[in-house]
Amino acid sequence: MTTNWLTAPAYLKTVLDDAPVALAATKLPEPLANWLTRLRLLYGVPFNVLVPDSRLLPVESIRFFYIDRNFTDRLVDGALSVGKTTTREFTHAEATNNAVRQVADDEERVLRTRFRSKRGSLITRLVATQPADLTGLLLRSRAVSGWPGLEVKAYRNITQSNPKGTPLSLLRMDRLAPDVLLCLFEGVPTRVDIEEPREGIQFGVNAQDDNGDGVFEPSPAVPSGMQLDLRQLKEDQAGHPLAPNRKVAVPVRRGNRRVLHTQALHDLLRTQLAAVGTAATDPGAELTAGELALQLWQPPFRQRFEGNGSAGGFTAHSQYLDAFLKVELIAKPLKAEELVRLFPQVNE
Amino acid sequence: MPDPEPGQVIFHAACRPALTAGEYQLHVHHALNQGTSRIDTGSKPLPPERHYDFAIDAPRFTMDPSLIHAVFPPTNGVGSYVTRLPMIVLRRRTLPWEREMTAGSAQPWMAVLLFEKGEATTLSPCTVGDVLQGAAEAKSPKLALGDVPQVVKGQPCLGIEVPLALFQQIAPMASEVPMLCHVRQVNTEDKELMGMDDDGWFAVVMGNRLPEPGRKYEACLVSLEGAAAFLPKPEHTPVLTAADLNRPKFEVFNETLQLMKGALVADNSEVHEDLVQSAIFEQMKASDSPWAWQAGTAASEPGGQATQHGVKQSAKASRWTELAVDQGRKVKVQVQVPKVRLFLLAQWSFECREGGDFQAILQALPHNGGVAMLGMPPALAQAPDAPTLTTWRAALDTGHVPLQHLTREGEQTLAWYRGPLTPVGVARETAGPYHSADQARRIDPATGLENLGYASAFEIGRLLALSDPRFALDLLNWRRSSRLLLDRRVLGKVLQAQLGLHPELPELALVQATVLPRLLTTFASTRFDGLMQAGKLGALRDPTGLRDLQAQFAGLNAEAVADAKGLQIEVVKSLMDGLLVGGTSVLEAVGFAELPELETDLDTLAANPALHFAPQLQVFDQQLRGFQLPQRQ
Repeated sequence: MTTNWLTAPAYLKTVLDDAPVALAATKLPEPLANWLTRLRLLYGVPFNVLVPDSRLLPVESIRFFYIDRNFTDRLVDGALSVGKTTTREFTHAEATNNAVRQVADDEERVLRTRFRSKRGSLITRLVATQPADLTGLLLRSRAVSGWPGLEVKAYRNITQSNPKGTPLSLLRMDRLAPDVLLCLFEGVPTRVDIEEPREGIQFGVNAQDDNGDGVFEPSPAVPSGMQLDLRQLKEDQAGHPLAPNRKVAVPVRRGNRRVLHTQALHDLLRTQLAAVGTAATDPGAELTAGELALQLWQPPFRQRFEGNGSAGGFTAHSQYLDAFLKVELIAKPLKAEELVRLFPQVNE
Repeated sequence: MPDPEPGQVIFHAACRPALTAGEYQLHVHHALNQGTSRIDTGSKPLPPERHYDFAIDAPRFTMDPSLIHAVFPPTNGVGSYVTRLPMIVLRRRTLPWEREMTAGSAQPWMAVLLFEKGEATTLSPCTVGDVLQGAAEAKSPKLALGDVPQVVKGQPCLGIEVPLALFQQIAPMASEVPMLCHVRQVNTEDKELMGMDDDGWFAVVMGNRLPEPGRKYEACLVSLEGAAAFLPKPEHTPVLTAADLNRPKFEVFNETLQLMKGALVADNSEVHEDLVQSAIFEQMKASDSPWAWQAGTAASEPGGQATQHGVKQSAKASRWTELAVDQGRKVKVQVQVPKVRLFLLAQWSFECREGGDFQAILQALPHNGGVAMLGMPPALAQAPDAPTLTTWRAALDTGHVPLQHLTREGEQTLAWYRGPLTPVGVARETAGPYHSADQARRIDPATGLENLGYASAFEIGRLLALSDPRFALDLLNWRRSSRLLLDRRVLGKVLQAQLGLHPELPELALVQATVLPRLLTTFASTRFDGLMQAGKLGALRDPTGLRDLQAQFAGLNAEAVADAKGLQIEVVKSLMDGLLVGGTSVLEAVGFAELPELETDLDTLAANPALHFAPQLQVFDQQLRGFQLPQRQ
């Protein structure tokens, strides 16, 4: 009985030889597990730690990223180092490290579901045994401050037979600042959709606003800086935009440029729609209030970002090309030459 | 009309009731004709003509809020509604057509007006009579509603007061009012749009004014009944044309002045009003603003881009302003503001954030900040010298950022930093845990620079933990209890290993020393099932080695053994039966099994078992009675 069974090597050997023991002893109390999981998902981590240089996330930009699991593991190590001073505590930390990591790995994938579900309801752990890469995006834009209910959806495994792809679970979605949105996904997405919140049917106009700063840009052709896409009125096609993107400049009153000149808009739409032959079932008829409303209808907009999601093969120049480069818009696809213009280093 | 399918919406132009609100008389009159000639019924006259009075009621001066299905922008909503028209959705599909703007006009009687906060004044308290009598200001128009009974005039209602000029700027023209009301039919199963008790039909009244970013707004559903006379006329509401974009300023001044004309009041009627106006015009030119000449008005009237050419009238009359007219004469002038009072049927407010068109903003992302992986564009960070350029770029491309670093030695240098968000996937290390931040420091052999990302991660984690006292407490508690559990388990393993090496009789001199391992293994066995039962601790259970002998020699005789070894027969029997005394295990009998979980660690127990287990040991001694330990050789 003279052997000091508490010496670190003996202790560790026993614990490490017998993983279930460590796991059983690592039953983290719920608040603790939650705290560590939140830390793993970067809750509370100062913004300048996430983005050390403002040039990494300029105004009006979107950036995709992988989560460096080593970084998050170090965060947890740091948190667990509190009050760790003696050999015994160090030994204990060594012994429980793997198990704690396992708990946090499992927990971080269901944390958001748990937040969003009712208290006490059972969470089905539909999680893979092997944790996937964590990825995410940072969106810094007026779109974040202006549209609080923004929806972000990520997909992968998009194939011919599965055009919708497999949705990735959203581990975290938070506004870090009024105009900065952080989303974390489980897995590497090949497509990310950012959708305008669906708040029922809305009416309005399209702003002519190339830089997205919210100030309409009047031009001689469109003095008000507002346009409307003409929409089909014919029954089976009703509501669909008239191809190819036929627009009318929205007339406003001279006295107040924010007030639509409804009468002029009505007359303009009537002649324009009659000209393209979609006017209605009855060509000579008046454009009714319902038809006018349909022209002013603004469906929620979805912006799509696509990339190949490849993780390896990194070279200095390929980075900005490989992943998430192709921007595809449902309403207005970008042309190839526009894309090239966006990324000048392509031609280097 | 078929019901719409789920997800389908049908827009209808209007839904007019068969009769609009008002008082009606039903005449019932009988006539019995044959061909064209009337038949004389003689002594049995037909029933006399009868008159039945009835009234069709509809909301007029107030509206029950339960008639509102929804409003947009949502009440108290904050968002970028710059490109969205306000609207109200009403549950009763006929409501906008139940009254007429002017009798017989068949025009809807309601409209949604959008006021910036402060533009309109809500009257409070307010009665129907207050609204009907019109605003106190000179030249204020009144609603043309002649037939309101005195009783009704005393009823409370909601009313707003708006400067006439503003009203005429933003209110729809009479011809526009019907265009802004329509009826919508949706499928009743579409839960997103529907309340439970709705029939799928709604009347929608839309506004015609778009909010501006950074302002607060009040959207008002008002009654236009009797207001036709002062609604804006087409000649007053010209369409903005391209030419207007570059209009000379003095034209704007002049236009403003023309609009002001009717509202200008001078204190000296002897001065000709043309003189006053030209004086004002000079002031406008001098101050380069159509407003600044007025006392107490800011040089730039708040109005922003969109209204800077427009007339913006504050809700109050301006102060008296002294102007110098010709020959040094002075005159004081004031801009008076005639106002209209309207019945307010519903009102909601919202705040319009900066930002524009959602689509435009997102489509402009590539032009502005760009769409990319998170990382420093190589062009933006200058490499120190050419030889390390490749390494430098590789580091930047993998998400590292060079930061100023003051080393402990005081040297000012650069260090790499990479946060948790990286443009490339990073393989996860399995090493760990790290005990200090220094362990996580890395040095890049190519550039000779330190990589401090992980070290700072460690520090951030530590600081976050320290900043949360609740977490620190939870952590310490967990560490303690987890440690106890581990200790017990490990001790069990150690004992098993040590004792298992000597299956022959252990050399134990003291009863206490015999008891302690038993005691401890019992603890272990109650916590971790099956150690005892599996026989792994066989030697412990039997200090004499009899159990092993029994296994080798079937049918071993207890009496013979007792005789040969000089042991008491009952002791031998109990050993061979598994240390049972009177049918119960010795350990259980002495009460060890029922020991509560001990809030101490095993080192303390081992140091002085007699102290901690005195009662149990005493019982154990008694149970063993004359049990004799084997003599040491």
